[in-house]
Amino acid sequence: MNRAEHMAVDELLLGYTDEGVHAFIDQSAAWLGFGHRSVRHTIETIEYLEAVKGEPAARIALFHILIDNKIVDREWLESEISSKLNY
Amino acid sequence: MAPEDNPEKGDQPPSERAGPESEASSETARQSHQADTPINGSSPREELKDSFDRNQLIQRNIDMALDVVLRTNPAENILKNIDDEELVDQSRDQVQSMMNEWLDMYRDLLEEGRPLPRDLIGRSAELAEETREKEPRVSPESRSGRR
Repeated sequence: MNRAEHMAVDELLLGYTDEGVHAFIDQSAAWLGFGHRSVRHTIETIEYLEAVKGEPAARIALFHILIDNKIVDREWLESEISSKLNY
Repeated sequence: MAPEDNPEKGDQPPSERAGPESEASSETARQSHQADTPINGSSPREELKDSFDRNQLIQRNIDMALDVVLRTNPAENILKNIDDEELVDQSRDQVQSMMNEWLDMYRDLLEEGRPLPRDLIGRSAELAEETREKEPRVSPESRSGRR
């Protein structure tokens, strides 16, 4: 799921989003590619973002991690937001 | 050098006459003996079994807790089962509120389980995949049949 999709899902299901949180979590994606989820997709990252940006950022970060790890149904979410993003 | 040049060493018993290597080996033997000695009345085998049982119990409890949290995802439980767009719009605020609470609950679980020797996010992913394999995905066609 790309950043725009993550943000659309946040807006849909949480009511708010923060691009900076997604950018921070996926910062390693540029050079690690598919394996980027082994970096910054941790509880420590959530704690750090909560300390820096507050509780909503921690929720956004956790939701991002749950989606990337397919703990919530990513395919369903993508289909839900595809129409909203005009795919 | 003649034996009488060092009279002190000659008077020592053989065990005390030994050098540092022999001291090291006796220390190792003492440690080994301590390891074999039962602590609090239980043998090493029993301790190992207790540790294994405790580990199994922790794993079972973690799986149970994660399974409960995964099954209470409000987005999947509510939105997936609503066909009517108007109803989805009406329930949006409630679902968002529930999603925020659900994420807090999930976070609490991760924090509680942090000292445990388990990767809870990884285990959650495994459980979620197992659940999806066991239970067929809800499609728009099957939705109307379920209600």
